[in-house]
Amino acid sequence: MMDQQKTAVADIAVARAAAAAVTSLSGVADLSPGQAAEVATYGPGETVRGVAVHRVDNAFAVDVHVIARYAPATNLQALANRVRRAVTGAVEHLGAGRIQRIDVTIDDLRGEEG
Amino acid sequence: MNVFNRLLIIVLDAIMLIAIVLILLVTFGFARPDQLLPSLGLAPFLTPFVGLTGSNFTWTVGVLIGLFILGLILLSLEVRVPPAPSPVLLKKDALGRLTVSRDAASQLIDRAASQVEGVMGVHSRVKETDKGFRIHTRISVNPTTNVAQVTEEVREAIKAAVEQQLGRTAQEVEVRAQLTPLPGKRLGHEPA
Repeated sequence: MMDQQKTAVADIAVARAAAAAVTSLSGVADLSPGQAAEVATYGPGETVRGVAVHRVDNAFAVDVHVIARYAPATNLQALANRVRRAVTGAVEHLGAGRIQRIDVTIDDLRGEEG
Repeated sequence: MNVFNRLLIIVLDAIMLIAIVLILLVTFGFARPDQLLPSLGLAPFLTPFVGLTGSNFTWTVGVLIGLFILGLILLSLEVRVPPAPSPVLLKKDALGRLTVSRDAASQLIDRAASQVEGVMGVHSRVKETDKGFRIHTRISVNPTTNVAQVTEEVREAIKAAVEQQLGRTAQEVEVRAQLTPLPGKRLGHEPA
């Protein structure tokens, strides 16, 4: 019964929760739609850009692209780790199921000048 | 190459390909000159290709097919979208990959280098190797400063940025300084 509830969570709901968690981080200026190809999750009448959710072996694979907020002490690797933890937390909070992989890409930097 | 030049080449190339097809149709006798796009009045230009025989026919067809192939190659080169440069890897573990786009890595390095006093402009390129990053940076410096000292400070600033802000090792940092401004908008200090 519990497994059925977990698999019933739609990809778009996972993407939405992940996007909200990631954009609330202080070092993240915005989600990025991707550079080489569009990174997005599509649902009925809704698109979440910057987060692509796939199913792999009954688990989630999440691809997140962000624009980082630049400051002289910015550590991009630490920021990417925080993004990953935020996505993990959001998916666990939803009770959506197991995460197999989270790839994080920082596509761009945004400074104080915009 | 800018967009206008690229568009111009695509349009001219397309016109050349259409012209070659029309000439081939006339040369092989599949159509009469007055049947092909009569509103454009092309008949006088196509008529000399009617009824070619012998070596004239062979040369005309050979040259046209050669030009057609060249035109196709040129067109395919002009219309293709260059692939985005692959991102550089910050970390890879069991849970996935943490990467940063090459452009963002270059921006970060440029910003670090531009903090050095005397630097008026910066432009960096990042290459990734198994042992770390290889960075090639061009800087324009204020002529009143000590160029060797500024170059060394930039090198140190870049190394520190790569290690502290990207969490990777700078295997090689090459800094080339010039007194003339770098083309385009670059980070740096304006001369006083």
